[in-house]
Amino acid sequence: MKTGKSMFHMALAAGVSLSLQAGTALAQDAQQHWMNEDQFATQIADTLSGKRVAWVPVSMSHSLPAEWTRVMKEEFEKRGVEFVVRDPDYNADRQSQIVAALINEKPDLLIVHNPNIQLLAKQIEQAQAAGIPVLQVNMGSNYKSDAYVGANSVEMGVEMGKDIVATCADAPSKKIAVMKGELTSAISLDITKGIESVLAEDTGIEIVAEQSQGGWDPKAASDAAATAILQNPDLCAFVGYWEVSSIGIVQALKDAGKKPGDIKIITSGGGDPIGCQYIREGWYTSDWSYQGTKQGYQLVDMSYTLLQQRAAGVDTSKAMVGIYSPVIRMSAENLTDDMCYGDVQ
Amino acid sequence: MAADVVSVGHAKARGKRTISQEGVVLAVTAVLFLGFSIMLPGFATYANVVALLNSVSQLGILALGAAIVVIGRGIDLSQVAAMAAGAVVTTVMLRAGYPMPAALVCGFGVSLAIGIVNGLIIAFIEIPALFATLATNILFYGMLRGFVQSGQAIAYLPKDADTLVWFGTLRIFDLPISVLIFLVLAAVVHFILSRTVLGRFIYAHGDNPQAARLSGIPVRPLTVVEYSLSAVVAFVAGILLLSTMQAVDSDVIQSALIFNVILIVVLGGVSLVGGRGSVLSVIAGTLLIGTLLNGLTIMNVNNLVADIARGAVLMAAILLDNRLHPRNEETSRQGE
Repeated sequence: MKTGKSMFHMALAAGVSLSLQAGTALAQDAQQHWMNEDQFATQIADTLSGKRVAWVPVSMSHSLPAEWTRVMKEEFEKRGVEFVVRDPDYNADRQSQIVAALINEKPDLLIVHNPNIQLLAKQIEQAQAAGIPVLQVNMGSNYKSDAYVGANSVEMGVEMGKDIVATCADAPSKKIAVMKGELTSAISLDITKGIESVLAEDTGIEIVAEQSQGGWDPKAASDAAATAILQNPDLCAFVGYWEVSSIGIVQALKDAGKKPGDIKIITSGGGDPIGCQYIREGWYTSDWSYQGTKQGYQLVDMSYTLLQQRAAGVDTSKAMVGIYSPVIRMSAENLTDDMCYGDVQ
Repeated sequence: MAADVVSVGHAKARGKRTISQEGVVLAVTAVLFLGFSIMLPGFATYANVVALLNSVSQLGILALGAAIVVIGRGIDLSQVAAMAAGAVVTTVMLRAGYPMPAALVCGFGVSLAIGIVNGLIIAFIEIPALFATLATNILFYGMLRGFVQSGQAIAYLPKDADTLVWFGTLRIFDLPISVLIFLVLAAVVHFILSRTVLGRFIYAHGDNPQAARLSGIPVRPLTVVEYSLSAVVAFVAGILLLSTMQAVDSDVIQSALIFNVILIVVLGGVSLVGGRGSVLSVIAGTLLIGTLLNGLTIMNVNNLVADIARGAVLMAAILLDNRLHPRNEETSRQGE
């Protein structure tokens, strides 16, 4: 009992001496950590207000980047964050120039949307060296920066692969045609990787056509799909990589006199209104969505986190954090109005 | 294969000055068609041939318009802008609730205006067609995206535009509407080029603009007419695209589509130096590209291999053109 008591005293003494040593350093921090809600809210508001966030999408012409931008603009405005959008509109040179100009302008945060894994890699490194935190969206680069928010497209490809197997499980034929879109884009490569990893096992699925002509152009998808239908009238399903270019597959099916569901379509995207419309009409059996609107809010959250940590002197470039957007399978069974953003433009 | 081609070409053109490029292209197409028929099961079926024609008829229609300009020794790089602008304006008007005829008239007006503006710049300000249409192409793209589509690129046809949707799926004599319109337009353009004064003037303009002017042809207004015709044909292609796809993407303006159109025009023997070629050239070029792309699609090659094939064919066509129409040593111009 006595030994126990003296042990306790020793521990106490050690504790006191330790806290005395650290005390001077921590005193200020401790003071900062004690605050009421009003003070906390004021601190957040003061930190964020007046910050400058620059955003460089691949192109604003499509609904997904437009939806992210809408959400970010709306949220940033509420906090008094200055939001700069510069649109290279699919022009790789221009995108590079825009990023170079922004590195000079030194915004408090740079958000980039990579057209492929190489183009901006070096510049992202330069931006970080210049002290600008960089957040990458949906399509990653070979160079990992402060943060990434977006779909894990390989994982989504795996889910799509399982979906193909399930969809064609009871079909008389297990033939599928894959419409890959632009062959060199990260998302196309990733989805292919995911799907192939599933179909590599003995699933009985037979890929009878793999098309990438014309990139993401719906007309090219339609022409290729028309040929695939003629060559394989007993096709079980089409796999499309983007819900917008997959409208070409639908047109080819209509031309061939098919009814919705005769040949299934499994596709993916961010929740473009056309995806929801074609699920409702029965053309798309499933549409794997990385939920564009939610991604917009994830971007806002990540931006606020980075801005506040930087303001407190934290070097966020060390951590390389990543948040994968939740992917859902949209189909006739679970479709709700909020899954796609707004009405068809 | 080369020997075949030359001998067939000879047979067709015996007694004429040279082997015609259309003849060569048609022969190559026939050889390719035969080859694919033997190699690829399902290629030589009626349904596949219809699908083949359907897939290239939009390109073929655009090429008919482009050929008019190229025969007149011009080039219209903003033709796809005229196509997209007409279709997008029509769609936006429909979405805003205007009746179909009004929307179509406005779309047509916009396409025509693009043609007239191009023609005026080239004829009266005397900017070379290549630079003028390159610039207007970018200008019209920006205006379309910025002012008409408020930043978006894809315009979807509203669901209640039944007439257009019905039109897009229409089949007459079991031929898709795109193929029929291509054939009808080919007949009309052929008539204009070969049977009318306007057609003769266009050839004269392309053959030698100075001589045409000196002989009293109103060359400047003629240029405006040429570019307007190109734009009007583009409008038809745009409406057709809209009705079959039920959507139009104005980013098509920045795609390689215009180069595919020029590929078809040049391939069939409409020379870029003007004054030469006909509707038959366009049909020959369209059939060759259609056969090639359809065969490649059935063979499941990816887009990079398809690009290599297309590029090689274009290169071959230009070499052939050069060989059939050697440079004039005095003027160092080709084919005089």
